[in-house]
Amino acid sequence: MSLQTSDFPGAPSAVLAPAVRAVGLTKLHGSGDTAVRALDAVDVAFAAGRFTAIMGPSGSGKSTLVHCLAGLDTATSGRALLGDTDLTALNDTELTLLRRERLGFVFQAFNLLPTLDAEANVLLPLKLAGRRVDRDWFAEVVDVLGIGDRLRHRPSELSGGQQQRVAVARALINRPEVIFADEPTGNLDSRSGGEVLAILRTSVRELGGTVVMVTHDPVAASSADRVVMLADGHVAGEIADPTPDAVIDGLRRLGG
Amino acid sequence: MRSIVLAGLRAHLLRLVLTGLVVVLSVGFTAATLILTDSLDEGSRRELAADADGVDLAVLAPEDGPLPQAEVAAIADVDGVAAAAPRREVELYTVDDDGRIDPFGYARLVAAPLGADVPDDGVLLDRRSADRLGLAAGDEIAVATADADEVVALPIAGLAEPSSDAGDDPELTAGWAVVREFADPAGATRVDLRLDDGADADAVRAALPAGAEVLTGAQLGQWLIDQSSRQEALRIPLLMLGAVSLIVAAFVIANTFRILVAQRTRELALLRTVGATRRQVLRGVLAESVAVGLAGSLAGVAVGALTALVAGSFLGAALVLTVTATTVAWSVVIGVLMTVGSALLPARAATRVAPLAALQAVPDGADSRTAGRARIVLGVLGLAAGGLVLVAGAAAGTSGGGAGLVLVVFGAAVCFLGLLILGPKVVPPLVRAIGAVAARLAGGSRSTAELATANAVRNPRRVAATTAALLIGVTTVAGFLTVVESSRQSVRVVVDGRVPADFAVRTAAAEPIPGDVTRAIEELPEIGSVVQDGNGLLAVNAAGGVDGEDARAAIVAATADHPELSVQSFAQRRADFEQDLNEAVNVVLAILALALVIAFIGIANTLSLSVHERTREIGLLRALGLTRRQTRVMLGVEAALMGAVAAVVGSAAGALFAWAAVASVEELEFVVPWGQLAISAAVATALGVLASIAPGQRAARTSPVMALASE
Repeated sequence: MSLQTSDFPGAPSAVLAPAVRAVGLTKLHGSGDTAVRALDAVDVAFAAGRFTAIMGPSGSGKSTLVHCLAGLDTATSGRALLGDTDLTALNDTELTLLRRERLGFVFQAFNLLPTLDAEANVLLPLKLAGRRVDRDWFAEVVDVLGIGDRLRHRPSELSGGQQQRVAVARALINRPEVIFADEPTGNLDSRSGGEVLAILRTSVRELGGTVVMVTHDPVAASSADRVVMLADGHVAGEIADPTPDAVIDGLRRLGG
Repeated sequence: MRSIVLAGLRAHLLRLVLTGLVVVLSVGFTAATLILTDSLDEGSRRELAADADGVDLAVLAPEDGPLPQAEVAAIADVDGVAAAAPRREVELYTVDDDGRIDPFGYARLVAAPLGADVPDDGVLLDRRSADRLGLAAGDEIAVATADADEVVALPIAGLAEPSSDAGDDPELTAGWAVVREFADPAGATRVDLRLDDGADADAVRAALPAGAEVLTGAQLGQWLIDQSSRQEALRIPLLMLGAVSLIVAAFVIANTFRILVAQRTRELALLRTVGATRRQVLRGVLAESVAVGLAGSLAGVAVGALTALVAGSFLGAALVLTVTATTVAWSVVIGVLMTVGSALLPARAATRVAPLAALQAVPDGADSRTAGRARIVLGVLGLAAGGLVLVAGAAAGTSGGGAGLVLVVFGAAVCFLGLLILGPKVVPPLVRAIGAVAARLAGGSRSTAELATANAVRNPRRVAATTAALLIGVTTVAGFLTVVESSRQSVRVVVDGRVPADFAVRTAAAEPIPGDVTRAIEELPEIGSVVQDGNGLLAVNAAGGVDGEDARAAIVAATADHPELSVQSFAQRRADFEQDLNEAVNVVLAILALALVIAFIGIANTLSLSVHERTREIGLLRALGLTRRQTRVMLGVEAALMGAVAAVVGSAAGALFAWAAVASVEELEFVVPWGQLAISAAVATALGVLASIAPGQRAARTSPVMALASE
């Protein structure tokens, strides 16, 4: 069975339509004189059906940007738009429902619940939403990620790479509009990391998904279609169709 | 090391405060018992000493009988005696609303002490009884002599404070002239004397009747105190009930320390890697527990003193707050030993972890160890041996006197211990089973219930220990309720007689009910049948279609010449009995509720510690779409499952133990109070849910960003 791009909403007929974007997005940590401007009126858009990497030095605000766009954190001002939905106008419950229905997540570590086996972890967003499991789609995802023989295993019985594959499978299971990945290869050796990146790329190229990934690894970033550079809470530049050298070069210019 | 201990205390203050609260409550009850009984003792001692106030000499009656009136008069007439107060206490029957002698109602008539202002023609009634009976000065109170041959109405001249011996029966104080009329055998048990100013005590002694024992005022005070019964009857059962709370508390404290130490494994390991010896780490944890135990115990003594004062005012007894050094010492010893004993094993476990391994581990509360083989063998042995002894006791009981009950108690204790030892093996499957049912019933919240079940069983030892605390409480309550219900049934049989009937005609006299009275009742048109019960009681049924009160009135009218015969509906008598029984039952339940409260704190403590160590996990769930409400429900279900397991197992164990106890006592008949057991089970489960509210609130506030923070 072949995967249909229409499995994902918002893609790919309008490849250039933004799936998610920030408009004047500002985030202050703390208050008064000690307030830190983590994001300073950021305007950026991430196209549907594309794989975008966000890079920048520590403290550049790249994680904060993703947290605000993913409805995990609230912005101080500005707007975070998922399709036509303004996340900054939603309350906690609405944000929670939006996350489980329209978004997927892959984190650096501690992606899986230790008490659940791999299959239960993959199905968790659907279970939390009380939604029916589409068994064909589940089989498809499991097949693409090559975790079919690991479904009954607990996270503690899986390698780091296997755990991240399960996490990606979970991010895919509800056919999200956008998958947010925060340093998904940060805790992996280069071979496992490469596999996870390949899977993320596959989910964009073949499954028609949209991926926004935070990373500090130029090689990982070069897997993306586009790299957005962040520095001091501002968008500092971008690279289309990046190579590792181009990314390193871009980073060096940020530093200098 | 001391600074590290202090830093540790500060850092974990909240958790330690909760642990300390458990110590305060459990030690507080024991302290309250000791202080209350000491204070009652001291109160009655003062009262007795006051009884000897102003007494110069007291003449005691010989062992074989009271001093006859002639001798009392002779003593009063001795030269140098200014005033003489013959003393005597007489037990009387009270009289019911029909004017008949109540064979179950008693009053005490006490001859007034020296110098008391008592009128010659009336009695003083204690205020408490006056309130209860709605009597005031100027009214009359009807009583009957112990031989139940006539009813006498005594004028109430005034009201008096009840003495500490008063209890619930009316206490009448009167002059000797009144009391001697009722004394049987006649005479005084003691004569208190006040001498003329300047009279020679030795001369007076010499003039007193030969052979009588004579005491000085001071000797009399001591003699009275020696005669008085101390509050042992109250103290021992209260301390036994308090022991239930102490055991529950020990479980809760041990569990808290185990979790605290587990969460601090990394911290302790860090101490080890920078050079702390195993001994130093162990000493640090123990010092922390000593501090908690000491502070909790001392606070417990204070709480106990307050409780004793409040309880004393409810008892309405004369009480002088007495906190002895012994009480303080016992409370502190119990509190500190319990706390340190509970912390010892977890502390040892903490120091056994290799420092480097501990530093690398991320504590998430998961610990799949259930029970070693030795533990299983020990548990099964306890369960089997205890069960055998229990059954043997139940079987022996009907033939072998009181030994059966002792066997049953011992067997139940061993059996229960086995159950607790097997907890880590037994509790998780039960949680899963109940969790599966709950998930099926949960409908839309099914996945939340499944998550909760998985969370509850992730650490079998922890869930077993948390459940154990509540289990002990529920088992005690269920066992007690079942024994009470069985006794209630048996009391019904005794009260009702063997023959079911509408009314009982009883006699307060020693002689059986005269045959002509029986015949007269039988011939009444309102009466259907009359049966002689073995207990000298007539069981009477109204004729068909006759109103119960009419029939009763007819019997009362027909026995007008017989004040010793009381006519009561069985329903009324039963209601009176059950009211008395219920009051006692409620007091015991209130005390046992303390154990449930302590177990409740234990669950809240475990859950809040679990939430603390699962912060990242809860953050992850929130990121993936667990709403705040679902987070609270998840914690609630987790707690409810622990409560439900304790409720089910505790009710079953309690009923089983009660069955064995009842079977070992011949007079009792086993009855299962299904309704009450269901209520106690529901309360236990509800306590679990209640305990989850605060931790659930905290979990719901967890920011999803927590899950993304890498370390």
